[in-house]
Amino acid sequence: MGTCRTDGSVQPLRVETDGQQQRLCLEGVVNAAQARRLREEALVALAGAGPVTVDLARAEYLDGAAMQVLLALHMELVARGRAFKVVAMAPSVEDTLRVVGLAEAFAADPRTALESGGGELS
Amino acid sequence: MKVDLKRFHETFFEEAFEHLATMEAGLLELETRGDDAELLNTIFRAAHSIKGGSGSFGFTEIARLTHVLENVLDRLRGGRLATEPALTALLLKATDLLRDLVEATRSEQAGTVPIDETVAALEATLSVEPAAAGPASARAPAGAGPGAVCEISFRPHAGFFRQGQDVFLLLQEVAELGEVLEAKCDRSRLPALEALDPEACYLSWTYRLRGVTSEAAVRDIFMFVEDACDLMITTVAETTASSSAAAPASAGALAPKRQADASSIRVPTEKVDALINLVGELVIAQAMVSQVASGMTGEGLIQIQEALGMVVRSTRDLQERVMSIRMLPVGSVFNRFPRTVHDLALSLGKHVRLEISGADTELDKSVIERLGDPLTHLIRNSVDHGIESPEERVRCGKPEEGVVHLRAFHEGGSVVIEIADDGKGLDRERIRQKAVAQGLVRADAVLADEDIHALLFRPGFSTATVVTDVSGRGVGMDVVKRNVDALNGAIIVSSVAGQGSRFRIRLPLTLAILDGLSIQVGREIFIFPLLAIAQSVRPAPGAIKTVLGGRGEIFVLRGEQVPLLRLDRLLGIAGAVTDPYQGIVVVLESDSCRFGVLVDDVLGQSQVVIKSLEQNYRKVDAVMGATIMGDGRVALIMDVVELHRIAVRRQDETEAAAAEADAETGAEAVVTASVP
Repeated sequence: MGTCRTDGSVQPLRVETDGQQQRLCLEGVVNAAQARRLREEALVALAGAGPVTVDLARAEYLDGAAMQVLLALHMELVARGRAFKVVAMAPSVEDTLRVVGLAEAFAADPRTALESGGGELS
Repeated sequence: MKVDLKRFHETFFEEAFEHLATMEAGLLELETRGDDAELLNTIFRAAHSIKGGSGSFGFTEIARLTHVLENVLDRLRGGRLATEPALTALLLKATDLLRDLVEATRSEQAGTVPIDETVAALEATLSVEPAAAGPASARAPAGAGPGAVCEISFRPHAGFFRQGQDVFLLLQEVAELGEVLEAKCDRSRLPALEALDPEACYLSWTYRLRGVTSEAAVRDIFMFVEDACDLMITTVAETTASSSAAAPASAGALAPKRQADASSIRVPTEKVDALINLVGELVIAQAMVSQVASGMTGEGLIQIQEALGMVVRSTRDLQERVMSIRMLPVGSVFNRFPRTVHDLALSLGKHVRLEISGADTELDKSVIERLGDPLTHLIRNSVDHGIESPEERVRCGKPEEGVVHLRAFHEGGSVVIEIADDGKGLDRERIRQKAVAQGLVRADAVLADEDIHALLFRPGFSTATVVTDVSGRGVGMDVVKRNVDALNGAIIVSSVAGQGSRFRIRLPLTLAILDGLSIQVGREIFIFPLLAIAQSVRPAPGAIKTVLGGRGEIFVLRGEQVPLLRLDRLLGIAGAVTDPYQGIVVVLESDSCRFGVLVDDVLGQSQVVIKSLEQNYRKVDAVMGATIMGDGRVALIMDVVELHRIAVRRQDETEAAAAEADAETGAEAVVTASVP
């Protein structure tokens, strides 16, 4: 595991990097109140190199404000030819994405989550 | 930018109470109409709206209770549960609890209302196996037709998130409305991450659903965010659903709903009151101009007076229209009584039907707000003491079911609210006995009907075992009377033994304007409410007698002796007429009793704008407010009830002294004719 950006004891968001890839970890409820920090972290991930993995293993709920930050990150990475994937998505989050018509955009790959030990990352 | 959500809370609470009233009325109606699809839809929509709003504002307890309530209602309208009395009673109980919960949440005490038991009871009904072959017709979409597809285009404004709204919660509710054929999120407006404002909303959605009950159900979801988004709902037959353009017919069908939405707006009462206050000022200013013009002579006078006539007409028009903003239908207070009667009759084992008419009659908001308690008391009285038990009614040759009529109607510039029942009528003899026992009347006194009725409203008259045993209310008939008096109203009772009783409350349309009689004492002008005036007379010689060596006075009007007050002495006004035969006696009526007030002159009748003395100065005994006259002078508006109290006190003193003198001298009351 590489560096971990953190500036407090309880952090719902953080970016981990090992130089080859970025991992954006989200925890708990991520809503409009956290959207500004999520964007900052997403910009950090974007500034790094390699693919970006969004780890939702400990995310309980993402609202529209949080989701559009991830969508913007996704679009930007694709434009730069970098990979973007979402892992370890909880069924409740998956349900929400399906209901709001964003399931495809965030199609998670459960295998990736298992391989990377998604649930244990945080 | 931080948005204070609290300013939206009050709207939510107000609307929640309206929805609760709808639910309650619907549930009561369900008992007589059974599984009525449209009625069930109405109740469901009301519960659904409360749930939607509570979710948006994070009132979790309200959302939890309404969620399970909504599930039960959904089963009912789907025919998977039957409307049985026990279930209706449970739903009514849940509605009551929800009302308590909303009230508690409003005062930030949501935790004080326990809901677990009711939630569990509602959930238990859901675990019951669905009835075989229940009527599915109730589920049929009401507005769109079974095969129709509803297309919803939802575009939140950029500031949507800043209002604390969660777009996904709304969309989840949308998805629950029917079968989702398509859910599309438009991301085309999303900027690059660097340029993205995380608090601005860039996304929009299009949904296609089959089986949406009605367009109103969709709008209900967006009710609290309608100003923060663009919403378009189109319903198209399924065969043409693939077409991107909405069918013209459906667009037409939507138009009336949009018009209805625009036909009313929610305005804070303070804004309306400020407007009313300004119009009041305008009326006063106009009266001042009229007065100045009336004293003018010479060229141009006719033109000025003509122009003024137009101003007067327009001002009155404007005043009436502005006043009408505050007017609400009495139905808003009447709608609580079907439940009151239903519950009370049930607990007393009586059969009672409440018939309401004139619910559209309008009254000032402040009058309506203070009408609830007295009316509740009178209606409970009718059911409790007026209507007989079914057995007794049958014995008397009446139908088992008793009827209480609640009517509102206009009569001579006032609104009358009448509560009448076909019960046994007031028990004259018991009231009389009680009054004798309490020393209020002598055992041998001959009492007319009015005297008997007046006794009911006497403070201290223990009504508990006579007519007003209303458990738990802690309100007596004297309080009813006081409430009506405070509204400048009057209450009249009539009763026929064996046929029923009737209470008529006469109320002014508004508390902001008063029809009054201007009178003069010395250099001061006073206003008496016209409703309280019996007559004004110049006293005939010898009609005024002094009692108690000049300490008290009575006025003899056609053989009737009424206490007389001199306003100049009461209020310490100099320069008033001292010879009573040079003045005028205004006979006022309060509590069915008369008393006279001696004044210098009667100036005339006028409509005055009431200004609060309490707010602008302080509370003054026997004065209910003030107004500004056309010449700019302030005139006090007299409180007739208070004046009456003073008069009664004087009379009691007079009678006591007379009795004392009687005992001492064995003579009649010490009464001497006043020397003119």
